Amino acid sequence: MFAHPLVRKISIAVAIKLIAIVILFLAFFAPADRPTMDADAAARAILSLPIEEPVP
Amino acid sequence: MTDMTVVDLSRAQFALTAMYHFLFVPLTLGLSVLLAIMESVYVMTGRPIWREMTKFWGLLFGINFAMGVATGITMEFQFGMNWAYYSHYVGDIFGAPLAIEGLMAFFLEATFVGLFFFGWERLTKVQHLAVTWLLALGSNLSALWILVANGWMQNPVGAVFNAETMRMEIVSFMDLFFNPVAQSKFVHTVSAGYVTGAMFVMSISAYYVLRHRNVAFARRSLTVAASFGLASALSVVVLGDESGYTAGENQNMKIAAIEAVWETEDPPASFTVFGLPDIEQRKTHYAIEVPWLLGIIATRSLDKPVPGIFQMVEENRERIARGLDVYKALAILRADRTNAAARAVVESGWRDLGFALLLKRHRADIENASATEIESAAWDTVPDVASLFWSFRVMVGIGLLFIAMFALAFYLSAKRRLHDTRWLMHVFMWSLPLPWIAAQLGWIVAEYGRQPWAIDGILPTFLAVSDVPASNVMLSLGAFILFYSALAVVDAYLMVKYTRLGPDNYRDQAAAPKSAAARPAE
Repeated sequence: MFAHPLVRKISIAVAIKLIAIVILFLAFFAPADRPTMDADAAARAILSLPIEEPVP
Repeated sequence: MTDMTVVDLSRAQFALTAMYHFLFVPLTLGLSVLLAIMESVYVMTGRPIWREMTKFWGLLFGINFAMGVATGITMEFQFGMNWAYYSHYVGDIFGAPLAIEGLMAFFLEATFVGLFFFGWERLTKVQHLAVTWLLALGSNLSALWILVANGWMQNPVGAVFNAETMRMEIVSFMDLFFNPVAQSKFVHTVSAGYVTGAMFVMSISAYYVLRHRNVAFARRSLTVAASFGLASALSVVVLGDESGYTAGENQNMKIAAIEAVWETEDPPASFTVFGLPDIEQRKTHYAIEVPWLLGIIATRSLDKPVPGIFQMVEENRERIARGLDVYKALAILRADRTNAAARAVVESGWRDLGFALLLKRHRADIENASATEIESAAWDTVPDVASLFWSFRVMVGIGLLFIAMFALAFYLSAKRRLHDTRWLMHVFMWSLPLPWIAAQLGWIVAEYGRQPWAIDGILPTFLAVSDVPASNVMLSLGAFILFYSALAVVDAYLMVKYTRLGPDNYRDQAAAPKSAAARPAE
C-alpha cells in the first residue's frame, strides 16, 4: 500500500494543501491581526446610548 | 453604522468555504458506512471479491477524505478574524461542540482512516472490520457535533445573555446536545450523506457495467448500493419532514418563507406546489396549492395555523419595541452595574434584545428610531422568499426522484435484472451530481433561510462581523477561490483517473507484486 503511486500523489497533494493553509493563515488570519473583542469592546460595538436614559 | 460591504464579503467567504467543504463531507459519511457493510459481507462469507470491493471503494474514499480534510478548518480561521463579535458573543456555547468534534470524532476518524488503509496486511479480518466500522462511527460522530453547533444557531437553547460579559453563556449542556433542531438536522444530513455514497457507488458501477468491465464487481456493488440507497432516500424524506416540523416549532419565519405563506390561513394550511413569489408585491402569483398539506407537515395537526409572513412581521415589530427597552436598560447597566432595575429589565427581556439590534442597520442611535425604521427592521426579519421557495422545491424534487430511482433499482436487483437494464444504468451514471446539488440546496435552505440572523432571534448577522477593512476580506476571499479551485482540479483528476483505472487496473500501478488471491474473483 505504501508503494502505490496514489499514496505518493496524495501525500504531495496533502502536503501542498497544508502548506497553503498555513500560508493563508499567516497572511490573512494570524491571531496578532485579529480585532480584540472583550466585554467592553462588545458593549461599544452595540451600544450607542447616553447613559442617563431612564429605565422604562 | 455597519459597513455592509464587509458583511457581504465575510458572508460570501464563509459560504464559499462551507459549501466547498460540504462537497466532501456527504461522500465521506455515506461511503464509510458502505465500506463497513461491504467488509462485513467479506468477513461473513470469506469471498475475496468483497475484500476487493472494500479496497477499491476505500481507495476512492481515501482520495475524497485526503482532498477534503482540513478544508473546513479555514472556517475556524474566519470566526476569529471576520466574525469577532460572533465569536465573543456565542463562543462559549458554539466552541464547545466544535472542540469536542475535533478532539473526539475527528481524531477517531483520522486514526482509523490510517488503520483502514495500512492495516490490511497487519490486522486480522475481524480487527480490520472493527476499524472500518469505527471509521464510519467517527465520521458520523463528527457530523453530530458540527450539527449540534449549527442547531444551536437555528434554535439557541440552554444559554442566557450575561450583561457583565456581553455574551451568551451556556447553562445546560444537555439542552444544547438534545436540541430538537440539532437532532433532526443530524439524522437528515447523515441520511443525505448515505444517499450520496449510494449514488456514487451506483453511478460508477453503472459506468463499468455499460463498458462491460468488472461486471461481477459492479453487480455486487449495485446490489449493495440499491438497497442502502433506497433505505437512505426514504430516511432523508421522512427525517427531512421531521426537520421541517422542528423548524415549524422554532423558526416559523423560515417555514413561511420556504412555503411563501404571506397571510395566515385558516387551519389546516394549504401547500403551494408551484408559484411565483413576488417580494415587491408580497404575494405569490399563479400558486398551485394542495389543501391541508402544509398544515399537516408543519404542525402535525388539522387545527393549528401556520403563521404567515405578515403576521410574524407584526409580531417582530412588537419585539423590536420591547427590545429597545432592554437595549436602553443594558446601556444603563453597563454604566452602573449596581442598577437593579436595569438589570431586572435585561434579565427578563434579553430574548428581545436582538430584535432591537436589527435597527442598527438603519441608524446608529437606535433609541431614536422612527416608526418607518422600525417597520423596515421588522421586514428585515423576512429571508429571501423566492430563493428559499425554489431551493426547497428543487431539493425535495431531487429527493423524491432518488426514492423512485432506488426503488426501481432495488426491485430490478431483487429480480437480478438491474445490470441488464441499460437505460437505468445510463440514468444512474449521469445522476452522479444530483446528491451534491440537493445537499448544497439543503444548506441554502437551512442557512440562507436563517437570515437575517447569525443566531436566530439573538444576534443579527450584520452585527456579528468584525471591524476589519473590506480589502482584507476581499483579498482573502480571492486567495480562497484560487486555492480551492486548484484543490478541486487535483481532486477531480485523481477521482477520474482511478475510476477509469477501475478495480482491475489500479493495482497494476503499484510497485509491489500482486498476489493472485488479491485479484477480483470475477
